[in-house]
Amino acid sequence: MQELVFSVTDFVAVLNQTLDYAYPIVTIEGELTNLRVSRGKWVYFDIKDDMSSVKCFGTVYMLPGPLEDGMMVRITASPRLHPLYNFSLNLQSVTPTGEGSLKRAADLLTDKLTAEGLFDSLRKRPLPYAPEHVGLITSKESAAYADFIKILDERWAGVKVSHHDVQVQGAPAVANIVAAIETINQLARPPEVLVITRGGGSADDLAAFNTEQVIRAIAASRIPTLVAIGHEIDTSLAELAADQRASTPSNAVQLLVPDKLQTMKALKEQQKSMAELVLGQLQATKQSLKETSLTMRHLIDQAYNVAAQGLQRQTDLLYALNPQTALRRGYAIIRDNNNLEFVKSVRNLKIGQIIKLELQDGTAEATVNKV
Amino acid sequence: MPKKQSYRALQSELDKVLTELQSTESDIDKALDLYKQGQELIKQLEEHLLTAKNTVEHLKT
Repeated sequence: MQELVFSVTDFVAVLNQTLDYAYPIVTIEGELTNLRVSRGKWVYFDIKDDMSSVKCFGTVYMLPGPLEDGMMVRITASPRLHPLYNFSLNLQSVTPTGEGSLKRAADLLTDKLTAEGLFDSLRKRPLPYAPEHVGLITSKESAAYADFIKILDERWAGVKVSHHDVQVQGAPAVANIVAAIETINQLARPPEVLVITRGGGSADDLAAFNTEQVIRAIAASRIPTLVAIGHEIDTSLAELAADQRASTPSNAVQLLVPDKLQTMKALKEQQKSMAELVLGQLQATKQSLKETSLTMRHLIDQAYNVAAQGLQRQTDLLYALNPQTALRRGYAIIRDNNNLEFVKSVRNLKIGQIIKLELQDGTAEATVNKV
Repeated sequence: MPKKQSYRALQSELDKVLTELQSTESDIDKALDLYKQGQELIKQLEEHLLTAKNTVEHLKT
């Protein structure tokens, strides 16, 4: 049998073909060491255990956030033999694993993003209350999705939900969530609020919500965000980046919309107070009419009294001026007996002239004897 | 047939009617007219809460 002799380049190519066929992607868990970032873009580190160490290579964009030596990580990568730089694992994803490493990774990322002001309270936008259109990012198969829709149906009506199905844990979660946030932000008619939610889980399960990519996508969302991760004790960084956080998917619905039974009750109250208001106004108008009527009556009485008093005065005057009144007091009217003209002066009288006397109860004739 | 108004639009109209109603103390004709409008809006709001359905559309990236 003839010995097979490769050129170096051929050997590298054949070995890479074999690796591609047998192990296109591998997942490895181990301790991260010798981490180095070159020119802000390229990442190099070794992954090791007690017996072995393998070199890894990738870009910063696939990292979940800042990492440091000593962390336990799970990587997915393609094994490659480089023509010049030997064997390495070409990274596709890196995820911290185990409580300690996850917490440390989250702490490092928190420090970095806090320094950038990503969690500042000044960045927080108010959420619309009772929105008519809601964006929802979660797994369709999850209890979180079922809870959200169920509580929404119980509490409120007429809401359009634009749901984007994503994996909320596991390798595709980060890319899924980031893509869903971008898709919903690019809708021609975007929702008024974007809810990103999942139920509770272990620190590993929730890891996607502590990755730099997801946090930055939430912070960059033009639509106000509400992040609800179903756990009460720790807050994920995604929640800190959101405009508002909720403790559970149900709590998210409670923050978004009022309860329709309560609202119906409030409407009844409004109806009642509206009726009371109008009734009050009707009574006030009635009272005002009554007062106007009384005032008119009073004015008429007053006018009548003034007129009556005036009439009385005129009657008295008329009485006083009536010649009969003087006759009753003993005066007499003297007329010439011929022409019946009043005799107003003695100069008009002659001796022997017959005059007519008019007294209160009759007339008499007399002759003038002396002037 | 006029387009059905959204809950928010109806609520905002009702708020306006209530504010106006509180400021028309002397005009009873206007108050009665606003009261009728308010009653109609409350009826529509209740109907919305009782009959409107939530809808879900599923998006893909």
